[in-house]
Amino acid sequence: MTHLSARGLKKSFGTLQVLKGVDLDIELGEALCIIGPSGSGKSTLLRCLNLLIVPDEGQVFLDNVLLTNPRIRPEWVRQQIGMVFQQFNLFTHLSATKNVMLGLRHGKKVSRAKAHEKAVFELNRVGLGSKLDAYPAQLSGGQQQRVAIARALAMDPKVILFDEPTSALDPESIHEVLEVMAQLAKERMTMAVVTHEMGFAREVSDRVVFFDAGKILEQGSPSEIFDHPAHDRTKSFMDKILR
Amino acid sequence: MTDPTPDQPLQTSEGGPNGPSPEAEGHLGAPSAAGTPSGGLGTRVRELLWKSRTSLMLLGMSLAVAAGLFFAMGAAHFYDIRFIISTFPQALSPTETALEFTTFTFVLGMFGAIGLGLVRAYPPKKVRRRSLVWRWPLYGFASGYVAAIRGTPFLVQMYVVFYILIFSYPTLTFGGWSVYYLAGFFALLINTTGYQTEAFRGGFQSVEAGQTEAGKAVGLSRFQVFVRVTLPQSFRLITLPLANEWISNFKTATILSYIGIFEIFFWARTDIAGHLGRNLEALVMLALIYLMVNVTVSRVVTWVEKVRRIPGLGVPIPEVALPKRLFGLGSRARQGRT
Repeated sequence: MTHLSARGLKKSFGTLQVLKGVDLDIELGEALCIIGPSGSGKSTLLRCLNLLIVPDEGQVFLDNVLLTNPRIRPEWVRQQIGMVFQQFNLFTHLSATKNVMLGLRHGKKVSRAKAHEKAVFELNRVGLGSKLDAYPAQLSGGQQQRVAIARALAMDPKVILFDEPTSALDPESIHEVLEVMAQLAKERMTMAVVTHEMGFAREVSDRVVFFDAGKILEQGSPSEIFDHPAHDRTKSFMDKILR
Repeated sequence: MTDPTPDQPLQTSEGGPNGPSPEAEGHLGAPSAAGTPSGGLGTRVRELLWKSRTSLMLLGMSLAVAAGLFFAMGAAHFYDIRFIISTFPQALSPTETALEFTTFTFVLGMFGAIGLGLVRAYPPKKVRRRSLVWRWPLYGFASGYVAAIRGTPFLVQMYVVFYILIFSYPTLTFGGWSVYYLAGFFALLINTTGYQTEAFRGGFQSVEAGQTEAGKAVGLSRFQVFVRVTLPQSFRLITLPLANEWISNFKTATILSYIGIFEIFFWARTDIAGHLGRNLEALVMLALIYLMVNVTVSRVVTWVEKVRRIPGLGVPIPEVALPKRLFGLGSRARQGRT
């Protein structure tokens, strides 16, 4: 069953067309990896899915609800679709717990006690039960990104979008963040991951999408894309990164 | 009045995209002082005092220098110290008036400045959508207002307000305030609003785009993102500029004496210098009052800002030992000074 889908997404910034008509389907409980060269529009695609960027053309559906309908509140959309950023973007003025609580308290209007309970639960889930009161600057990169994942999880989203979650991390932290994400994939959380971690894409994801120059070039199971790419562009990309 | 702020966002202490700055990591070592109180009240007070030892020492030295100068000039018979000491209590009531004018206009002006600062922080350059055309005149108004306030002397602003009020509404009163006091109040209000607008604009622009994006991504509306993320972070970033603006406002308030508002400058000019002929004594008393108030406010705000600082948020203060800070010894100390 198609969970989140995009039809004919187009987006231009000035004269630069970043998305050139993208069709994408994400199934319920699927871990989808989006790979491709830098600057190909992967991040823009993710941001269009939760309306952080409004696409110029095309539609986004979540469970057959048209999200790009101007009468739908974007805040509601973003409560359904969580997002984890490359630069973590934790609220610097709030402790880890309060970071997780903010969306619950003021977006979903959950009571303070319930939000706190949920925040503690989610932080424990990502292994940060001992860092509840730490401020972002007191946490390592990997810990910050795990708080960010907890923050997204706390909203009970239907999908979580990961925008290069490990690109700003050192190798050790990459491992701890990927472990949390692999665990989520195991629990059948629906997720779309833009990543350069080919190992993760191959091992964990159900499907891999190769994205280039604003379009999806090809998609399929990890082994299809990594071992038997159909497209020349995909082949040359794989040759360069897997050597 | 504060120096014109350059049209750039303030520096934040964010150590770059790859993690916290070394300065921020330094706070890891002292978690007990960073907002999670531990131990009894005595320990906490001692901790605070130790943490703020530099501020306290600087405060002590400033006061010592001022007192030294004061007594030295008195000893040289430039003025009559005994007269100053015996007359000092009279200054209390006019000082109160000046403090009230300063603080009330400052706080009221802050509300306007937050709104105008918001308008100024996000110029509608990229807005081509017809539904947002209304933002252009708003931005034009805010920018023109700030330019007018910062580009003209307060004396002129005050007289403009004064003559408008006194010619058009000569019988206007409010809560026991005559039209003179109202004119002074409004003039100071529009002045501090203009300066604070620029402080808030800088603050809003220094909040990283990722912060507001994250706020939206957890399902907050634009207004909620502003109230819950941008505003609290800005306040921490511009605490010191705002304190400076309060001090400027306090000093600017002397000019209100020209339209007959009985604050300290008026008191010193008429009661002490005029009636008693004690010109120098009047000026020395004025200077002492301003110095005491402003140094205290400045030091207290710096101290509170330092003690209540959230690691990783705020303009970095270099951790340089006091002798280095005072005398600029060592290249690192010189780099740290601003």
